[in-house]
Amino acid sequence: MRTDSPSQVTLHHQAMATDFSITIACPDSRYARQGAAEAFLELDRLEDRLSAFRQDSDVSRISRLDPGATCVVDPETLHCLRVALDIEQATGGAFDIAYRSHPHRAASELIRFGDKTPTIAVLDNAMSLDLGGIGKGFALDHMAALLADWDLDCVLLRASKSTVLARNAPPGKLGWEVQFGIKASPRRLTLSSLAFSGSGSDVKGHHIIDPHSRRPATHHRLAFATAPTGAEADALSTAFVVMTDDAIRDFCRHDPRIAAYVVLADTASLQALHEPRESATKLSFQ
Amino acid sequence: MQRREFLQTGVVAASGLLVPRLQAAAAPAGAGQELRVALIGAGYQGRVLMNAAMSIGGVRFRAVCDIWEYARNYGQKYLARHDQEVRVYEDFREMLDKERELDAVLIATPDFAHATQANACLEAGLHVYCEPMLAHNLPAARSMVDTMRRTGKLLQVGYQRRSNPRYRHAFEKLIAEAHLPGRITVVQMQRAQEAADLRGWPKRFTIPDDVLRRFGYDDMNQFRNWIWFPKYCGGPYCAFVSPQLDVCQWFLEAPPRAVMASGGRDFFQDRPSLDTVMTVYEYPHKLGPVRVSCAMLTTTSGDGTRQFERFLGTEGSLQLSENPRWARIGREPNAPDWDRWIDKNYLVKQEVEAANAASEKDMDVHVSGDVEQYQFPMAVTVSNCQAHLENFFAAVRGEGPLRCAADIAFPSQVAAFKALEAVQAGSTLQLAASDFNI
Repeated sequence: MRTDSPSQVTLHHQAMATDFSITIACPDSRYARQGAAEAFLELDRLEDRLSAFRQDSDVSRISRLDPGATCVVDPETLHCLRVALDIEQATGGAFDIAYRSHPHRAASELIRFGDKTPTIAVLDNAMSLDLGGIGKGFALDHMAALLADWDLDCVLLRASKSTVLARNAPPGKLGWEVQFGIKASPRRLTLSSLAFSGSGSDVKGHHIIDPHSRRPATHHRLAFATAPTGAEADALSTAFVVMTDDAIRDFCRHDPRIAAYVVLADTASLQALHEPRESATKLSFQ
Repeated sequence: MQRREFLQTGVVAASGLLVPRLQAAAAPAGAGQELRVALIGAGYQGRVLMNAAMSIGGVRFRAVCDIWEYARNYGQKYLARHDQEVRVYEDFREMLDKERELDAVLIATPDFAHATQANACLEAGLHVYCEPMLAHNLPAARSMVDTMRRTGKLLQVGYQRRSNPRYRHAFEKLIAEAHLPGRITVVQMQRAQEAADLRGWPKRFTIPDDVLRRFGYDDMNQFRNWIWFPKYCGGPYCAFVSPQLDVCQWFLEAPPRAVMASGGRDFFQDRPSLDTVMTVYEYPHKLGPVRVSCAMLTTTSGDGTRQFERFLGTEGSLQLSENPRWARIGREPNAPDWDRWIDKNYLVKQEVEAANAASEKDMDVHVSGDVEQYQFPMAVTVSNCQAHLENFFAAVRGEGPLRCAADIAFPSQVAAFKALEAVQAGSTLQLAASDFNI
């Protein structure tokens, strides 16, 4: 499916059980469509590797490994896992792709990476990895990188309604405008060279599990995060649903590139817990 | 030298560079030995091959060859991330000349290059895995079978369904042993994909015209969209349907004896090859004739089903697909029960979902004559490509036969190309045994 305007083309593609779209500002709409088609091929390739619903995916193969066993994975799978474990560490375990493992052990305690090759070793039984909180954002990063090969840099990539990655602003604009927050009173952001993601219970109910309590996270109804990459924004918005306000503020103090907004449970007001300096992130409220 | 002569000899390069020498330094691969391989063609399918090979283990890439810098650099970087440093080449002939310690070559280039490349590799003493089709015409395909036989080297064709556990189970257990789904009278096949633009390329990575011409391409558009140009292949019909025709050949244990076809450039009128083709083949199965309908669509996903092969028999239906979602088995209402085969774990009865069962009970409606649904008992836990490559590398090590050597794949090449002739002729073509002789 596609929608075109004189200077922009938007194409859609179903993957990872959701709708992805790419909007490209480019005077050559045919060239833009062709570039987007190649980016969607890359998306499908990543889905084949990352999906827990495909028996031959890297994630499924890892989950079937016996303790002590190793398997070779696609370098991109390894990259995604590394980012996931970095964020697990940075958020004190609030983001954990092994939240379903039973008895619970954090992903960083369950897998080890090979030194020179993209291999994964499993250290314990009960492996169950879920990249649902990071895979879509990770895919956006890779699609954007492929489009950069095509010199298609004025792009906005979107996964579902929850994660966007903005590259360069369209000509004559400060950035790409997106809306977020509460439906009744949405806020607007203008993004460039930045990713933005939201998580919460408004659409799918309380589906985010607090890895520590192993119960649905209910402290925040919604949480939003900006970050330099789609993978980080995707994962952090999930973590922020779980984390307390103080923990989020403390996290953001250590990384000034991150912005955090939350809507507390049973409320309808959006709180900005941390807003970075505009010059650092090219983020602007309107 | 004319192209036809060139293909028949298969060892002389267009540039005049001779490559008819054995890889004398290469010791024969044995059990457990790390295999030294090269990739010719690092486009989309070449990347699939690299990824699958890395999951197998015991395989070390030494070289990547592609006329497109963008692709060969991708291949080199990809393999470097697997700690495999490779040399890159633009011309496969230079690669063969310099890489003296290879065991095997994987070929994933446009069909018109296959015969030249595969024949040269076989003549050089290398085993070859070649993506289908074998070649862009039947004389070139025949030359590959000839070279394989003459050199005694392996030439595996990438019809990966031959190594798919679900397909193998369907033939070996269900059809051959359990005789399900009864007497097969009809096969329905579909290969469908939604309408799409021609493929583009990053402009700053455009291949110079002189390079394109040196390797036989008219321009960059044809290089990227070779599947739509008869100069390079048999068009989408041969590319998309020949793997399914190979399944028919395999399951029905005979080549077709007649084909009628209709097709045209119905939608993409700016593309030289047929975009829509409907064919009917007649196969002389040992239990009686089987009629095989085949739909090749490039303008629709076929309501999302895309690809399947459905064998319809007197006792049920056997539907296969590389997508497990579309693989299923159905038992005709009056067929003998299949309990014996369930007990042997040849198939698994599909449970009616609780919600549906309750709903039917509440409605108090009894539907007679429903086809009972069954499932295949196994999970396919490696990619289709990996399973087929594993078979190839095992054969190279002397650990078993190829599942789809070039002579086994050849009849499906004939069946595909003859369908295009039938479209042109507008009449039924009778196929003789001699058409399949190699």
